[in-house]
Amino acid sequence: MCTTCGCEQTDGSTKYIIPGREGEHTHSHDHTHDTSNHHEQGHHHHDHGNAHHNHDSHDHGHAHHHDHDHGHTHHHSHDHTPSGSKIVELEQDVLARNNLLAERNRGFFEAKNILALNMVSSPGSGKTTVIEKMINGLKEELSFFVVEGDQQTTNDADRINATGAPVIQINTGSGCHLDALMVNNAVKKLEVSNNSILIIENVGNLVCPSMFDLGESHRIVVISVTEGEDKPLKYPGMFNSSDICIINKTDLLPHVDFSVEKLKENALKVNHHLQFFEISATTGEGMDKLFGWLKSAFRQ
Amino acid sequence: MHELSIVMNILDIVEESAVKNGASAVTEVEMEIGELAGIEFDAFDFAVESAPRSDLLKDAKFKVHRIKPVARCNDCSHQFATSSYSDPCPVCKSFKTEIIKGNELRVKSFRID
Repeated sequence: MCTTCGCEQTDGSTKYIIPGREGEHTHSHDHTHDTSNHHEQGHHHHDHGNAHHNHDSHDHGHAHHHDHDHGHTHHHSHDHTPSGSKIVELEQDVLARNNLLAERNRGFFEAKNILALNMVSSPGSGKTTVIEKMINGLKEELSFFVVEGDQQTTNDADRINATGAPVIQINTGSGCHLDALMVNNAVKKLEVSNNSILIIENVGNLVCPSMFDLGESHRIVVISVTEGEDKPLKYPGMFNSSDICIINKTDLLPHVDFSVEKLKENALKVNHHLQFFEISATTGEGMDKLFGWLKSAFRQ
Repeated sequence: MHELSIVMNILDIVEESAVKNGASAVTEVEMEIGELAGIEFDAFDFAVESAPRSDLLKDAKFKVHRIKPVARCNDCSHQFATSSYSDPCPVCKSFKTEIIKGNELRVKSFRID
């Protein structure tokens, strides 16, 4: 049990760690009860709707004219609806809470002129290196804040910390994606300043993070040339929900059987809005174009 | 993998509304899930079986309506049934298509005692 609030901390609960401040009690497991009361207006409770869905009360229209008055209580317990049972129409999006919170994050970012980027990819495509290079290349001109998502370890946050950019590590425990609440909590702890770029490195996973809006301005999917060029077809959800595609590790192209054109063709089949950047974060090749995009996206 | 957290989300949503409706038990939850919603149906069923339930929801059965995806072509406006994000328009062969139906993930209704 957490000594801060007394609520039950279950296994796999989310932890928030700022490098260098590990001793502080920064974990705040997701208090869903904190947020639920903000969402009431979004629900459709349809209390009124039960009568017409209740098969007990529909009119059968059989015009038996018995004159005797017996209170009209007969034959209204049809067995196809167990007595006392009723249907509540809800029509609620399962992700409505996340989406609502994501929109709150988005409004917060806009008000503070924060460009929020949600970086997604399979594990090992080079997201953290791309982020390191973006920060090191532009930190004189732009201010960066980073949220790192991983199931365990602060390895990525430690790498970002070395660049000098403020960073917070979210350890999702068994969770396979970040959600809007985690980002909301992390951003508060990180104390992100106005007029800055917030890079959110999602958990390495090409499936689950695609469903969770974090409130980002852009979703950037990173794929490396050591992966298959049919990945957009295999994992269409992620490529469909992203607007930028970074093709990383282009320095390895001579050594691998990978066609950049084929990859682009496949990705465009899934999402014709995608904009591509071909880079090698290791050698720096192609990074100028990415920097140019980042600066113009920030100014918009 | 995310199906378990989705199912737990659903249970929370239903529980909250069931309590407001004065339910003593939830017997059935009716879902509408698009085939492109990012839900693996087998994993979903497994999550339904394995998710921890409150007393109110412990006997609730899940009924899932699958929604077949429909796409619209941006070039010729043709609407067509599809099974993926990457199918071209059958009329003009364009890949500039948008999914207009089939990514729903909704709790439609639930039955209470």
